[in-house]
Amino acid sequence: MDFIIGGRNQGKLAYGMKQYGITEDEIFYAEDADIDGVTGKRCLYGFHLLVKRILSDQRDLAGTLQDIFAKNTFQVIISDEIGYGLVPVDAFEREYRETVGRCCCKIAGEAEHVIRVVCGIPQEIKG
Amino acid sequence: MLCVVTGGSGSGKSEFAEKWLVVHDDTGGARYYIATMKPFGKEAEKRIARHRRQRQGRGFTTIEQYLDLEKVPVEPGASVLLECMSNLVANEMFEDDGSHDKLVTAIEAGINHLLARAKHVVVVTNEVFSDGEAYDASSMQYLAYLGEVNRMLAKKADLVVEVVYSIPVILKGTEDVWTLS
Repeated sequence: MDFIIGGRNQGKLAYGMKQYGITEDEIFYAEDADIDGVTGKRCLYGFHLLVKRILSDQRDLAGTLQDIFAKNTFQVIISDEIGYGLVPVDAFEREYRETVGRCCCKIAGEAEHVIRVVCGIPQEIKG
Repeated sequence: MLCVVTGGSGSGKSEFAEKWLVVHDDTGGARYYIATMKPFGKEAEKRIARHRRQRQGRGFTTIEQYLDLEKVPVEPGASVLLECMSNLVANEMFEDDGSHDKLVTAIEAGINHLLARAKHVVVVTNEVFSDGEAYDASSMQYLAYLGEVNRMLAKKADLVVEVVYSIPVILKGTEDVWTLS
């Protein structure tokens, strides 16, 4: 599994689709996909938003992620980097930010390659 | 030698900083952990407890120092890990007995004090500059101070590492840190 990270609007998805030959119907769009229903996708796009949805629905994070990862074989996971600001005043926002960081450490640890995309330019920081 | 470790929230930078210091600490002397975070509230307590667990077995003596780095007693040849600069700057700026608008100078004097004594100094700081939000005036001033302190540190540093989801990305220096990730 490869992990693509970067700020928003940096060209992460375009890079991933081109590099791995991914088509639209192979993408799990975390922002609005049916978390329990979608299966067989090979690219997870918007991992940070998946964490946000699971936390705001107060579901079990590890269990829900395991379930999603069992129903889909992701070759590519794409996440925004969201931890580069002041500590948020809102408690949920603080938890969301911290949790995305911790989860992404795990994914990066398991990934074969980690690619950071800035201005559409991929930089391999692991692999 | 000064090593500056930076990174975003939850990036694994403190874990990296501790490992780095333990591996490079050839002094056989004391190993100090300067904690700058005031334990206010449940979240802070939880965070401190997590960091304490992480440090266990790595031979650190904890010194709680919320202001005045120059007052930290460090004997020659010791090694020091300071965590975290973002809290120290906030304390110096907002606490009654802080150095307020002279904080950059005060912190630089404190770092010089540590560097004059310790063999290895590792400073953990924070990347908090890229969320595009417009904050109130005092938060903007805080960001300006922390940015200035980070630049001052990086200028002095032999090694500057940004930790990205536990992966060290070297910004300055040539030390081979990848073996530690």
